[in-house]
Amino acid sequence: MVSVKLFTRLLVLPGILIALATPLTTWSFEYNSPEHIRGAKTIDAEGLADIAQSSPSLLIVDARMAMDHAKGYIEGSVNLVDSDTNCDSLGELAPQIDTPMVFYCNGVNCDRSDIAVKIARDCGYRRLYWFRGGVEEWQAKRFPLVK
Amino acid sequence: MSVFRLTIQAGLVLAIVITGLIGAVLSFNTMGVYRELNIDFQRESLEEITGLEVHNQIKHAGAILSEVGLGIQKDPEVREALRGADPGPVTLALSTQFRQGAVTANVIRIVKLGLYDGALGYIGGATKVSSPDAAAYGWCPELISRAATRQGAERLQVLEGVCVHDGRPYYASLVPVGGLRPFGYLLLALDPVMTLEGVGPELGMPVRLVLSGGEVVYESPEWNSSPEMPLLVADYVLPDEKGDTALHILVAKPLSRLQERLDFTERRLIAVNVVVICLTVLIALLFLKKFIFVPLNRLRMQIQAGTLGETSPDQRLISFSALGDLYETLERQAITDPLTGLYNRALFEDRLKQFIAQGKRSGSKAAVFMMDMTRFKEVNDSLGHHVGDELLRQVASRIRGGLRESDTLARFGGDEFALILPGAGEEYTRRVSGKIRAALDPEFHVHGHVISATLSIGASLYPAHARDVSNLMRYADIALYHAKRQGEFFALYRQADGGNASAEHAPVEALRELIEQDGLRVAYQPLISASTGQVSYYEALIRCDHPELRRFSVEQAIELAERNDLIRPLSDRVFGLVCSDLARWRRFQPAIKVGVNVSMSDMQDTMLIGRLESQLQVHGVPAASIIIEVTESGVMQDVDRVQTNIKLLADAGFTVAIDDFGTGQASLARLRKLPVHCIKIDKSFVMEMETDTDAEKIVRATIDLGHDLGIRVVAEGVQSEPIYRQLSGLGCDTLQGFHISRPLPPERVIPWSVAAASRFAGEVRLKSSR
Repeated sequence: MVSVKLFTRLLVLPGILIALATPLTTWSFEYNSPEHIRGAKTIDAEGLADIAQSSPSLLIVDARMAMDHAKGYIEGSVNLVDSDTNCDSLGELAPQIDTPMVFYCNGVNCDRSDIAVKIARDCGYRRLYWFRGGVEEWQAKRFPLVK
Repeated sequence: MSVFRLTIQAGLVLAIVITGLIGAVLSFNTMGVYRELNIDFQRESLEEITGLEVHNQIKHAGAILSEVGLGIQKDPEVREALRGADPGPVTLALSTQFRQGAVTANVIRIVKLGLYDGALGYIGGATKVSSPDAAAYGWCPELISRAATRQGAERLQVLEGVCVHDGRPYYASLVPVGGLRPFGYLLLALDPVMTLEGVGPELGMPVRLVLSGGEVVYESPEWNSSPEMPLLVADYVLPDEKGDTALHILVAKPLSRLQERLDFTERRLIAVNVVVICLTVLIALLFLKKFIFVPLNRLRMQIQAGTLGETSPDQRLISFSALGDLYETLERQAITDPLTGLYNRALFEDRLKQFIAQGKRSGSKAAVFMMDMTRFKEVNDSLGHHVGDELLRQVASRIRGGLRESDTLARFGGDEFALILPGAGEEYTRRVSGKIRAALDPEFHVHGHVISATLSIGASLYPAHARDVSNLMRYADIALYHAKRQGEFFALYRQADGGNASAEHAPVEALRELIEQDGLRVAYQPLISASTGQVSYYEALIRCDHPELRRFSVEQAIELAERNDLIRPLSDRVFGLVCSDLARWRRFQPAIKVGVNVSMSDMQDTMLIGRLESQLQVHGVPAASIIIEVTESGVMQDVDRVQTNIKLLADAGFTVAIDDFGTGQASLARLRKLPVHCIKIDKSFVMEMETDTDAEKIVRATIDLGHDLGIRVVAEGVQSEPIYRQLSGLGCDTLQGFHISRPLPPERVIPWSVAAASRFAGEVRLKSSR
């Protein structure tokens, strides 16, 4: 009986500690973007390069803040931060609703590009691409950023 | 034996010490290897660190280079020139870039810019120091061809690498022009030397950059600042695109600290090694001493003292089975007779001694048997030794069969056996002898031969007959002698028998006493030349002045000595006396000579020459002053040693004379071969010359024979004037006898010599005038 009690105590204490620690570790402030966004095609860095090659009218939107953009961006992209993104600002850049558009921000933990993609979708744009990996993936794959 | 033992001990000790030394040498050697390995390891890790730092620096510079390149490719003028695909405007546009970005270019030493079309064909370029040659063609063809193989999105990537141009290394970056839709490429190359100079300060060590051709392109000021300090130099090789050496980056680190540490470790290890080796050697030596040397030494001492087999097993310290076996073998050999397995004489005497020692206290009695086989020699001679040996074995076994455990049976060698019967009185003794007789009665079957063996037994009783070992054995021997003489199987010693025994015992003791206590005297009988009357030499004759020896003639006394192993000390003593007399006389008459009789057993002694020469040396007498007289029967014995000794004596300078010539059977052939200088005709012929014409004929023939062989002839026994004249007439060279002189005491020799010349001169003159 004593051994069972001791065993229970030995099990209970770490159990409580783990239970307390678990939410702390899983409950993160970091945003993790979804894999897919309805109405847009998720692409990777190579996909972006291929689309750029095949679609000369491709609009590349850097959804980050200007400060981040200044540190280095994918050449040919325009900076339109998600908070400024609406049907009007988009309309200025792409008057046609079938203009192909790519949105990116810093990476998978950045929600600006998916917000912007959703706005574009809601504005009626039909050929939307979402470069989910963003700058992080671009740099990791040794593709150049310009300033 | 002692040399052998020394060799084993010294050899083992030497082997252990050598093993220790080899261990020490190996450990020193290992230290050297350890030191080298350590330094190699340090060098390798230094190279690794250098490599990491080199890559760090280059990566850093490469990042700046790419950034600069990405900036330049955005320039509209550059893009315009690229689109025009004309080398002139391209060079111009790129030269402008050099000017505009001079500061950046200088910081990282950009030395070349070049533009390539979309298919990576070179259009044109510019160098920092403008030279048409440099602009004429592209650099880093390996990097360009690697870029050309790329497909799809890969072509957007920035490509970097090391290349060699004109013998110098460059770090190049190939940047796509036109963003996501590249239509050409910009190549930027920087000189990495300045970048890599930074490796030194980063690592805190002097650095030296050497081209693959050996040219030093950079060297830290601290490099080789103190040449006497030993340095550990790491050589990191920077490879180019092809894998060839583009640049050597050498980094130097002072070795002193490492060496100090290694020295410390080395000293410590050597100290530990030395201690371990010394301890090992010490333990091995102690082990050897305890388990080998001490037991061996004890064994040796026991063998020397003849006490082997007396120690009880627990007193022995023998642990090694080999040594233990050896010990047991030696012990067995020391106490047993190998043929029959019976005890040997040494053990027998020892047992008897012990018994007597005990018997004195306890008052017990015993019988001692001496036995020998009656026709054993015949068996040996006719049927061979192997039959004889087997017979002895069987006889031994039958005798032993009838004895008690406490009885001690021994074989003394040959067919001699001996037995101790503890507790035996006369009756029991007789009973045992009867048992032995009965046991030997049946015939023996030996190797297919049927042999009947008989034994004679002599017995003495303790304490009735004697109370000491030698007398008990002697009396048993005497009894045995009686048994044999009377053809009886068994005889018990009777006091009456002892008369004969002690008849010899007393004179032997007397003789021994004379020899040992300087009681021997020598008399000298002169021999003179028949023609001149001058003394030829003196013959030394022993005089035994002792009441016990009164009955003995000199010849008998010598025989007695020979029988009782006294001949050697006797001869030595006499020869010593002769030499000492000669030494004294030679002061007056340097040419004086003395003849010495040498016995047969002396003639067979291998040490004879040594014995004689040592005496000569002691007294300073030359061998030429000595005439060695050997009897004819002795010379003619077919004993090699005698022949050899005669030759050795002659070689050593002694004159050899044959004594008693005519009594033996001299072979003329052998006589001729031996270096004999002189023969002495036996006095029996000389004394009978007057009355016996045959004797005269023999003497005459002997003289002629001697002269024919070139040997001087001496006549002994010249006892009267007529014989003297007769011998002179026959041409005998030298004469000896009472007519000339009786043997003289030593002090009268010189006066006699002086007188002799005149005394005999008259006779000689008389003879010659006739």
